[in-house]
Order: sequence, then C-alpha cells, then structure tokens
Amino acid sequence: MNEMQLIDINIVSVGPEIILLAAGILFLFFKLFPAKLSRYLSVPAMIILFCLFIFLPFFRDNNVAGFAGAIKWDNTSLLFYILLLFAALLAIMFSHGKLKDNERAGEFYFLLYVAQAGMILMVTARDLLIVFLSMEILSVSLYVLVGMFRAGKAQMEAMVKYFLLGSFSSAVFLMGLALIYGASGATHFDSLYPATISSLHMLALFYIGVVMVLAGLGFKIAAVPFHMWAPDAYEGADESVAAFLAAAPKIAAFAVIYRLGMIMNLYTVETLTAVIVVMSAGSMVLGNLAALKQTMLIRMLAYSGIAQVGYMLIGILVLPQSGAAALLFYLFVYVFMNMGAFGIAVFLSREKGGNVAIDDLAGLAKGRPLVAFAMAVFMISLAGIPPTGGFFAKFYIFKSGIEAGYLGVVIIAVIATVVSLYYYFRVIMAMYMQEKEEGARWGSAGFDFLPAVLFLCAFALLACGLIAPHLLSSLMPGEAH
Amino acid sequence: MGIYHFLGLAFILFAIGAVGFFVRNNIIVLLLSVELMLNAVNLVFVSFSRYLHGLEGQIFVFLIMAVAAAEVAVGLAIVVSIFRMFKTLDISKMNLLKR
Repeated sequence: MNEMQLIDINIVSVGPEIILLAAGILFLFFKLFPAKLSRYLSVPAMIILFCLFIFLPFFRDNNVAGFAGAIKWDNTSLLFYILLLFAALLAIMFSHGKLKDNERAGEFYFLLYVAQAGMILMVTARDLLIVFLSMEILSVSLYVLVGMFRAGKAQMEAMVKYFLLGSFSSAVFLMGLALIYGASGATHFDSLYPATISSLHMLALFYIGVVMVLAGLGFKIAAVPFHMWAPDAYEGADESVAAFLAAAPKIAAFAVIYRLGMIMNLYTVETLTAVIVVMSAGSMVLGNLAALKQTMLIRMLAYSGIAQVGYMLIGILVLPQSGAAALLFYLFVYVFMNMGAFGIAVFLSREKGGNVAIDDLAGLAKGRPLVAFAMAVFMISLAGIPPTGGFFAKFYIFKSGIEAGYLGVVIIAVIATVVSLYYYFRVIMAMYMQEKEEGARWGSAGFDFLPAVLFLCAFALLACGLIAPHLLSSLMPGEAH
Repeated sequence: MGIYHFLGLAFILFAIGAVGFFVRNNIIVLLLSVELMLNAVNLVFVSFSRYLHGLEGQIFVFLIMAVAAAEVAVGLAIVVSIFRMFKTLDISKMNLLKR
C-alpha cells in the first residue's frame, strides 16, 4: 500500500461539498434570526447553488483528483454535477414561498444542501467506501426531507415506508460491497477489474456482489423490483421535495452505475446484462401499465418516472458504445421535463390546496394559458413526440440499443411508449377540452415566480429538441475515465 | 476455523435479518432486523479483511457503525412521531396511501 502524501489530499476536490455544508450550517442558525424572513431564504439558497457553477471552468479537462485518488473530477462527473445543480435549483425554486417559519426554513435548506453535497460526492467518488458514505449522507437527509412537512398520517406513513425500505436496501447494497471487497481485495474502482480475479469461485462472489450493489442502486433510481416506495413517498412528501426526490437521486445513482460499468467493464458479462434487461423491461412495462389507471397527478408522474428509468437503463446496457452520451442526454432532458411536471403539481396544490387529481387540471388552458402550455410541453416531451427534447432523448437511446443488438428490449420500449401516450394525453385533454366546474377559480393572472420558471423549463425542452444533435456530440465523453 | 465458518455465520445472520424484515410488522423489530443485516455485513468485512491481510475492510466497519448509529437516530425519531400519531407501531395498520 502506498503511503499517502499530504499533497494527495487536495482539498479543492471537495470544494463544492465544503461550500454546501458550510452554507447549510449557516442556514441552521437562521432560526435565531429575529425578523420573519423565512419566505426569502430561498433567494440566498439559490444564489449559493448558482455560485457552484464557478467550479466548472477550473475542473474542466483538468482531472482534478483528491484523497489519494478516491475522488476524481473527469468531464463526465462534471456533466452529472451540472445536472445535479439544475435539479437542486429547480427544487429550491419550487419551494419558494412555501416555508412560513424561520426554524422550518433553515432546516429545510440545510437538509437539501446536505443531500446535494452527498450526491456531488457520489458522482465524483472512485472508491467503494466513498460511494457508500455519500449514498448514506444522501439517504439519511432524504428520509427527513420526505416527512418534513408532516401535516397528517399519510405523510408520516410515506416517511416511515421510505425510511424502512431505504435502510433495508442500503443493507443489501453494503453486503454487495462486502462481497466485491472480498473477491477483489480492493476498494478502489481502478483495481476492480474482474480480469484480475484469478479463481473462478471468487469471480462468482464478485458478480453476486455486483448484482446486490445494483439492487441497492435500483432502489435509489426506483427501477422495477425495487420501485414500491416511489408512488407513496412522492404522494406523501411535499410537492417540491417530491420533485427533488424524483430527479436528483436518480442522477446520482445513474452516475454510480455508469462509473461501475465503464471502469469495471462489467456490461460485457451476460449474467449482469440479463439483470439490467430484466430491470429495464420490468420498469417500462409495469410503470406504464400502472400509470394508466392513476387518477392523482403525483402518482401518475411517479409511475411515469419508473417507466422513464426503464428507458434510461437501455443506455446503461450499451455503455461502452454510444450509450453513455445517449444516457446523459436523456438525464439532461429528464431533469427539465419531469421536474417541470412536478412543478405544475406544486403550482396547482398551492392554488387549490391538498393533493391534485388529474381532473383538477380541467379548464387550466382558459384560466392560465401559459402554465397550460408549459404542462402540455412537459407531457409531450415525456411521451416522446418530435419537436421536444424528449423525442430526441428516446430516439438516441433506442438507436444505440438497436446498434448494440438489444432489439427485443427496444421493441418492448417502443410498445411501452405507445401505451404511455394514453395517460400523457389524458392530462392535455383535461387541460384543453374539459370545462371547469363552477366555483373554482385560478389565482391572479399577473406575473408570478413559479409559472415563469415552469415556462423557462418548457422553453429549454423545446430548445433541446432544436439543438439535440449538437448537444449530443458535446456530451460525448472525451475520455474513458 | 477458516473463513468459511465466519462467512457462513454472517450469511445466516443476514438471511435472518432479511426474512425478519418481511415477516414482522412492528417498526422497532424491522429496525432491529436491519441492524442485524448491517452487523452481518460487518462480520463479512472483518473476516475478509483478516483473510486478505488488508485494512480497508476494518475501516469500512467503523464507518458502517457510525452510519448505522445515524440511521437509527433518524429511525427512532420517526418511530416516536409515528407512535404519537397512530398510537400503534404496527406497519400493516398503516395503509392510508393507495397501492
């Protein structure tokens, strides 16, 4: 074992995390603040997150490494980092004006920042130990965030279910790590090539470990055998937390799966590709079928998110080839379309109070035409119809899947997409065709912060559609690792 | 005693924990089952660490203990507020959310 030099630590490599944690701890002291300013705490929270974009030019092409190689920033990690920042910015924008008292507001942004720090650590980690620790930092803060605004029994139920299943899945994940360590004798990613393991039963141990790790990560991305928590947790949590929960942890977990796949060269092994095929096909079929019969908007979006994960897993299957760029492009589009759709739920629940049913969208096109237009763009994009980014994301994923010879999975995916048109278009139908019942009114039609953000998201999706080929080529990872 | 004895014990403990998680209904017992699984993982790490003459496994164990303590702290806080609201800790009685 090499002796670690002081210079190996390179504190800059955890700069974003340090800033997030320091700012988060300052937010905790916010409750000592005499003035009632909690409604405006989201502004500094947004500004600090925005400042983290400063790291991009310094880390780009530099391969900044720290802690004896346990943390490394290559250009792919930077792309995941940008996605995480966008997701957290949107979540904070959705929570704007929600928090009424100082103590709650401080704790909320503290937890959000800690979760964000954990996820950034996750996308840069190059050691199993760091992956485990960062995932736990993320999970523990998410458990609390889900039950943060506990108004009733349903919220508490969502929190306890999410917590119990989450801690069970992290135990399975850890067992996987233990088996990988036992089989390879190392924890650093670079020394985990399966080819270096000589004996055959050690190799079997190694692959069992990888499957268990995939199960733990599958819980985080809510892929099919591990998806049961998602609809409950999203419905019970506050809408802004649900939006965060539906996008950000998936990005971070996909970063880890991607890293394991690229560095350990695992997806050439047939047993492991079979596991991912089952997860992918199961998510697409079950997610879309379950979404068909939902009446609540958030539950429908939760099942649609499960289906979307199924499409993304096709990108993981074809990683060494064009899959990496297709997966990154899909995640990029997913952040805007999925969080945008959750943002509509935030908007509606604020107007009407309580959980939003799909029928509550009736008459939105007349009352708030711009919001309805944004929602229509999100739905069209989630369904994968041409002028939007969602179409190109699906197109590239399916194309790379066919090129790599996974025709069967792609056929399932195409059929699942056709099925999904029904429930996405039901939302658009409700907005544009149905009349609203008497008595209900939409709020003021003047300028409002949230609709403006949603409109920008919709615009970004349309722009993604226009410049898709250019964007895809710039997402192509420059180097393997 | 070779490594197989330790691994066998660890896998049995892990299986007891995993089965317990799915057959029991009390939230505290579910937490205990997860703890059992985590300690089985610790045992695997320690025995592999000894077997491979490496230190990484033992470092893992320390961090797992710390993380498990943090998780239990959150978990017991959840249990307290659940009990205040539901007056029971039976998870099968909590079915307000549609499935």
